[in-house]
Amino acid sequence: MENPYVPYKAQITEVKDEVKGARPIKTFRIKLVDRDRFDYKSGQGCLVSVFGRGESWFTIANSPTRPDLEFSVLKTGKVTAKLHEMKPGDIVGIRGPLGRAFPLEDWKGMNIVTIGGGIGQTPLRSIYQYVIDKEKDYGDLMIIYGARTSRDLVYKDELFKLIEDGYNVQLSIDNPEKDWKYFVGFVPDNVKRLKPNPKDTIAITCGPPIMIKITLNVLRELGFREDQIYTTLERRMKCGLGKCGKCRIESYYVCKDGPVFNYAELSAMLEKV
Amino acid sequence: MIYEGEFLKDAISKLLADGYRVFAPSRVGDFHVFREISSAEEADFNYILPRNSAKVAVFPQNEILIEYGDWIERVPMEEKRIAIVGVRACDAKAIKLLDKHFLEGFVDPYYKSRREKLLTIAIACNNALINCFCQSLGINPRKPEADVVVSEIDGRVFVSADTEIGKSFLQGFNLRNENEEELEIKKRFESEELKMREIRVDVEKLKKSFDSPYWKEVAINCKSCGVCTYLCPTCFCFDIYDEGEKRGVRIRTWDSCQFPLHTLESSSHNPRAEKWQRLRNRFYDKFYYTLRKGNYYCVGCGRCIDFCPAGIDIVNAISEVR
Repeated sequence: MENPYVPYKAQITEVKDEVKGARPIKTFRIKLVDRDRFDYKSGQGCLVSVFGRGESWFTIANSPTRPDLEFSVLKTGKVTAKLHEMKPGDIVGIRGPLGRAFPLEDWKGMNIVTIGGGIGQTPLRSIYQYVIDKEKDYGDLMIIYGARTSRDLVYKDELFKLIEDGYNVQLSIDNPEKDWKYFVGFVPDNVKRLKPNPKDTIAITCGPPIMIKITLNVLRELGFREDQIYTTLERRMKCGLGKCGKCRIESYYVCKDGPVFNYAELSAMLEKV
Repeated sequence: MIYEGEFLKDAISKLLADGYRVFAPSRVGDFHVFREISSAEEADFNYILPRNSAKVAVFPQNEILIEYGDWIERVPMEEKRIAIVGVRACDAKAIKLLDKHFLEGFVDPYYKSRREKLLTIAIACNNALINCFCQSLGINPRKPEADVVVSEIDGRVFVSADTEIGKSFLQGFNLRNENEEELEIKKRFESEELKMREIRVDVEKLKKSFDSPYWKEVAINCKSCGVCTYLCPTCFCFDIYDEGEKRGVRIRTWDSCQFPLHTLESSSHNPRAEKWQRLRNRFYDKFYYTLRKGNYYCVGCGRCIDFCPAGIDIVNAISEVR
């Protein structure tokens, strides 16, 4: 019997600085040692393990249509501080893929709008990469993304390249900056301005709780039904298997029954998220 | 069947001789605890309920998941058979509930390694403690669900086995069949209810009262000490952490939903930052959330009432919800 608490051995192959400063974010490309990459779907996560420090949950940041596994890591605690010191060639542990994914198969033929804030862009990146790689299966793609300042935007190079290639990418920062050509204001305000059409559209939002909350109101004003709106939840996690109880909301374990939920499911819960 | 002698002590001696790890109530100062013993003399059966629950035998308070150096060096698993001797109906039922949690969905291999080799020897209750309320949750304290059940009635020791492992264990004992009168005595014993407290659970009312200010009142003296969860036979939450930077062990240890750190996220967001939210979470977990698994996750042992330093009483809190 395979022991789900025992991580696979994996090696860091590339480290990219996304954001510098007091709250740095790095993206790690990771390859499994001794075995091929497992199958996964956008929205699923892994527990990345650094022996001596512990394990942390990260959503897989790239699409299953792209090679290897990528994780974007904000430096906040013991595990992430150690990860930020690591270099290509260093060994980490990986447990996964874990959790319920976005139902991308069910969304075939639909328009996709991703609405992200800060590091919350990670699961959305996996979605837009997937939709771009399988373009003929989906309708229009709109990527709405913002951060506090231009320096806090993750995947900047990739997003500017997408803009160059003619994709509908709508960026924003909270306050004006010299040379900033895009929207200035909060992400929900940008959604209000852009007015994505709810007809045959799925909206997926991820970011700080307050951003998600206001975005949800904006989307409903625009005519989106609750079952057209998806998000992924953030919770403290340890086991990733629906056993340790930390990520539980009512009878749902976010690690196993989520992290992806649609708003119809969330609003049926007693404990408001 | 009938055993002439001290069955529980003789069972312990046999289990130890057969190489089992044996957990039994043992006297510590003024009270009893379930703990691992190495001789029958260490066990003491002059008790109604040990202070801790029997879950320690299958879900220890601390255990090593992985030993590591540069990489994983060893993944320890329980190899010995385990026996719990002297478990009451409440704790025996709780183990069935823990089974659902740890063995359904992802199978927890550490739990399974102990559980699949487990023998439970239960003892029927002759008396209840002041905060016992198992009967109102559908548990018969005189008919525990276990591999072997012992009932001491009017000086006779009745022993029965419902499972294969229980039956095969009893083959090593000199037992005689009950006579007509004894069968009647046992039947009457099992059907007689004990006098104890009752809990009234109204799930619909619980659902409606989730946002009620009632929960702040109930929690007003709560210390968030977590004693309720540590003594609870069905609480299963745990933490995992690493001890040792270069070389060490990844440990699993009991955790409590009453601690703010249980849910604190690295972003500093805490979904249950207030103590009344955490207490409410525990009560709803026992009587509403776990219904998805098909059961209440409370067995009416009353330990959380007996040992709460703030006098919080789950029977009153649930029965009087508004």
